[in-house]
Amino acid sequence: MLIDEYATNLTFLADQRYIGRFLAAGSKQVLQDAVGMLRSQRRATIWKFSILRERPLAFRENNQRLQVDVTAIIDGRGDQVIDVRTLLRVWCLDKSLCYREGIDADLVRTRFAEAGRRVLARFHFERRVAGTVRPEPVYHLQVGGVPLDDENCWFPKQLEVPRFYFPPMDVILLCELILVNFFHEDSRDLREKPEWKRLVMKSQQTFQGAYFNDFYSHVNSEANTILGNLIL
Amino acid sequence: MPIKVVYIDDVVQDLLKYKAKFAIDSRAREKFAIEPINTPKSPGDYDRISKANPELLLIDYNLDIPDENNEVIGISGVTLSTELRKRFSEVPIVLFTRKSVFRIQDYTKIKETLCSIDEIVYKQDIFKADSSILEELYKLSAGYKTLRNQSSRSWDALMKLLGASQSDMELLEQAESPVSYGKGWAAASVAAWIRNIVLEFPGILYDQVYASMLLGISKGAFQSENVQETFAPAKYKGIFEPPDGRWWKSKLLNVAYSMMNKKERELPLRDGFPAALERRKETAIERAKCVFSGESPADWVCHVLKKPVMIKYSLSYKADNRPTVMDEARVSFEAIRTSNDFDERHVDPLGRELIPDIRKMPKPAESVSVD
Repeated sequence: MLIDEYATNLTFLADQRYIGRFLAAGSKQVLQDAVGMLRSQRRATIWKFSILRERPLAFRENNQRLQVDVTAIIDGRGDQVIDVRTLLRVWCLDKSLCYREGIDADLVRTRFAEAGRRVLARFHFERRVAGTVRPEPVYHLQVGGVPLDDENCWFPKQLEVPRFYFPPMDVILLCELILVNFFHEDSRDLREKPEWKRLVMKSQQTFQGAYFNDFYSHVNSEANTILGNLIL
Repeated sequence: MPIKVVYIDDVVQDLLKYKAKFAIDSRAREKFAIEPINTPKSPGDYDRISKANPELLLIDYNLDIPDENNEVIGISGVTLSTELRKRFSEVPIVLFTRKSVFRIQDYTKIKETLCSIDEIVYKQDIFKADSSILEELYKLSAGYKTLRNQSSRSWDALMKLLGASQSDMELLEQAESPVSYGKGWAAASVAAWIRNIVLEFPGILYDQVYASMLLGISKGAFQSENVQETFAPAKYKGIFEPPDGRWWKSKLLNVAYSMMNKKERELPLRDGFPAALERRKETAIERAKCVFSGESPADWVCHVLKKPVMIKYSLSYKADNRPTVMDEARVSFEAIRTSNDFDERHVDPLGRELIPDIRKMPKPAESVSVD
């Protein structure tokens, strides 16, 4: 069963030998709680896996004083994945990167001093909302999105484009992306491990297999462009 | 001063035989003064052991032969050891037995689970010419003596006995230490912690295989006289120092980096250090080679074969309950394919899925076409 297999994979993910040592204090519990919720739905036809913004899966600060967190909502029906929506936020804890003297308002400085951090970048990996009138790829990446107030992130909420075509990214695939980009040196050993690769490959197959099969047919399509096919 | 040993056995001939052997053997006679005593059956018998003021207790396992009064103790050496630990809490206790009556495989992890036994020694092995058991027993007794004589039983005092640096102290604290703040420590539990965890599992201290892998060089290269001299400041000199040596990982890194120039420091240590060594010694240095692929430098050690391996050719292997601060145990593809000591049950389910493919896959060197 997909629920069981995914719950097991996420349990491995949280282990100290995998990403456990890269997580912020308390975040292992976030993952374990989300896995518990997932397992509790194993008899249900429709299921949902969620890690919410109020209690995200947070990584520890890296050597550039950046801290990344992940939220996720995955909907499924039986062994089928219906929807994958994940968000990756990059927080900055370094004042020199968060506040530009002489350009930013004093309020930004005050807010940064209070919170000690600020969101510098947000990346939404989403599926097209059913019934949307805007032409957007079935799975896409959107930079920005709608931040919460405590993120102190300046990004115009009205700017909802561009949306890049992008494969669905679940929590495990996002963790690999985070390790490569934010803990490149520290995670080298982990990324070499065959069992880690196996874990990531399982998520690739579950969440991206169908996407890339379709994508490949679009690459070879003579009737339409890739983007043209993906926004249909 | 020789170590005072009380040897407890139910077989009178053995008591006499080993008293004589300890007296004759040139390695033993200077270091040990042995007092053979028949198994204790009454409080008076325990007083006799106490009066001998033992610094090491050797106990036979099988104690079912009656003494001259036709009395039998009625318990095994393992059970007796718990009574003796209660009475002599700061003296090492060694089960001294024969392979024919005590099969260690039937008592796996007995040392870890029974805090009353520090070591198990087979009678037929102790005086073998190539055996280091006598030396190990001496170090065990000497270590206990140092712990006994400590006036301060604080964490800092213990760390001083190990010779730990500040950063190593922090790691040791995470290594499931039996020291509780304000309460001090008990010699037997601290001895077990040092011997069965700190010195046993790689992570804070490294043996020769791990140390050489860390530095990217072969075990042979690490054992060479000049390399040993170079890393002498990193060698563990604390209590219970094992005969085959241990090195502080933190100090190995300090020494290695101090020898490397700017360009070498920009490389991973396993590449940069051998290059630095070759530059200084003006001679080629053998690298740590992967036991499976032959590639170098290997970046881990196979738990089963005790040989260097590339992480990418190994799987996580949970063969023990080491603290998480220690290095993860991994098993090489080579051991999975060839060793009878490999136990699939220690591999987690993710790794287990890979085993059939690992057994079938050609070795990296074999997969290269030669025609």
